[in-house]
Amino acid sequence: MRLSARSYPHPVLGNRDDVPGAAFQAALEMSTDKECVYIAADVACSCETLNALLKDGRAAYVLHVECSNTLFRRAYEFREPQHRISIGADDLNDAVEVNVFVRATDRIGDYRIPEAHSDYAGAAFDIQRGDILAVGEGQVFHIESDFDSLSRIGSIMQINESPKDGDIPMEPSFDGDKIVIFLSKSDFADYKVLKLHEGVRGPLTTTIVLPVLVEAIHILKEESEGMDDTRRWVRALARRIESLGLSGESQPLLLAQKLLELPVKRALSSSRMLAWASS
Amino acid sequence: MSALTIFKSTFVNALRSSITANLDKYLRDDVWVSETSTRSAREMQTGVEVAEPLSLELPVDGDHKDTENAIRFHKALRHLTPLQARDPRLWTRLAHVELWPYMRLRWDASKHMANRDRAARFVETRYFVAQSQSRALLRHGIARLWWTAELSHDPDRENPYELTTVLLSTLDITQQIVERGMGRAKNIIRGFLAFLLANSEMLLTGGDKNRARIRRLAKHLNMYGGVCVLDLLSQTEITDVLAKELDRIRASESADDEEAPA
Repeated sequence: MRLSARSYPHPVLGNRDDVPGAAFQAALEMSTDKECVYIAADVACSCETLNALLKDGRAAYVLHVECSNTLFRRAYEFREPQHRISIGADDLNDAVEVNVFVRATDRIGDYRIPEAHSDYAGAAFDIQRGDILAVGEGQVFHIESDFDSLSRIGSIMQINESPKDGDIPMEPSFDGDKIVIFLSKSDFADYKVLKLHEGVRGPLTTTIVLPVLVEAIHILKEESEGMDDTRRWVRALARRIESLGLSGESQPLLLAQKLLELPVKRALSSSRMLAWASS
Repeated sequence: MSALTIFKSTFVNALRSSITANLDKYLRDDVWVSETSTRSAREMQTGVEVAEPLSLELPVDGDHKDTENAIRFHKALRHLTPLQARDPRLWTRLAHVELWPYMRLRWDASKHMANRDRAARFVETRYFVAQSQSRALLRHGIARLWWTAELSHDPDRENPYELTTVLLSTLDITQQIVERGMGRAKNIIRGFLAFLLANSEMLLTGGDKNRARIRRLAKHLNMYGGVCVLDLLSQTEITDVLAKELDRIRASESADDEEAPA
């Protein structure tokens, strides 16, 4: 459920300036193991009216979880400010959107909030069971369950044989979850054999992966900040750059070499070893 | 029992990037995909067991057989997890190999060949899972059958697939409820479909008036979901919301009829 600021028929804490005299915040954390995804919420509400309703059981917190990738959508009601849920790892994948609300668990016939905006002064509202009374800031988590996150940069790339015939240049595709590099049929045949040899892996990386990574970084910088992109490789690359403290590096070629841990140096080193071995 | 075979992701990517080059092959009746690569480069076995070879009823004379096929297919693969059931490798394989005869008739690319770009987009949408979002699964020729049955399956009913029949009775219902986010919540979709079933004479007998009513009901429920957490309402509460709206719709229709000039 994508939540945007909206006009509710009654004042809703956390929505725009409906209730400027109070705050509703939910700190969310997600963790995973092989079996489950765990989402923990820690809710803070400074509205006395709502806290009284929560205490009386006439309102409750709600953790709303939605995953478009697996068509999962479920809401979990809870009473204490700290709550943790577990969801089967087979139910979620990729982007998971989590929102926290307070909802009325009963009809409230004469609902008033003293801390509400002055526009609501003196007004009373007929709240129905289920109506939203407070909204927290939602968060999107990314679960990469079947994906080798960026322990190696190669895991966001895949090298395939091109369906086209003839001697053609390599061609990257940036449209999918991984960057796919298409090599001509003869180049791909050579690549399959050569990648098994430790001595040529460095030069191969430099020749094939480095230029594509430079182009990928250009795309990342031009299109968005990366974290909200629907393509996994964009998010993974953005996270990798951030985690290595390289966000300040503005030149794509330098950034790509840092991410690949000096591929030119490694290529020259292994080429030197090969040259000495054959002389 | 036999293990389900799927395509390798490298092969899916290559096949998808070759749609334009292969476009004429989508008009062939025989399964051609084996011509494009070796088996080892193309296929991998999964741990998913199927009791018998997968097959679907072929559409005849305008009858798409969607309901029969959704139920049959879901029963055959009832044990798929959501994570398995969103995997493009599975759906691309089934659309191009095991269920190719069905796909050729149900999602016939020849109808779009006058415009080859449009035909390529049609193939990408119906034969491949084009994106990671739910809409792509709901548009894929085979995945949509499994997912519509999965979302509407209600084990508490004497006939667990009774609501699947309602959901697939017209394409309009599927678009109105399943392609909106609220259709993923089981209590909401079941409540909506149960309401249509209980009021079938006013809503499911075809015609523009009934279709307009269904659209207005779905729109109202979607809007109501903006102020109320529908996911935690019971099916009865969902149907109560819809009953009040249907009364309003019928009242407005009566008022329109009275105002219309004789």
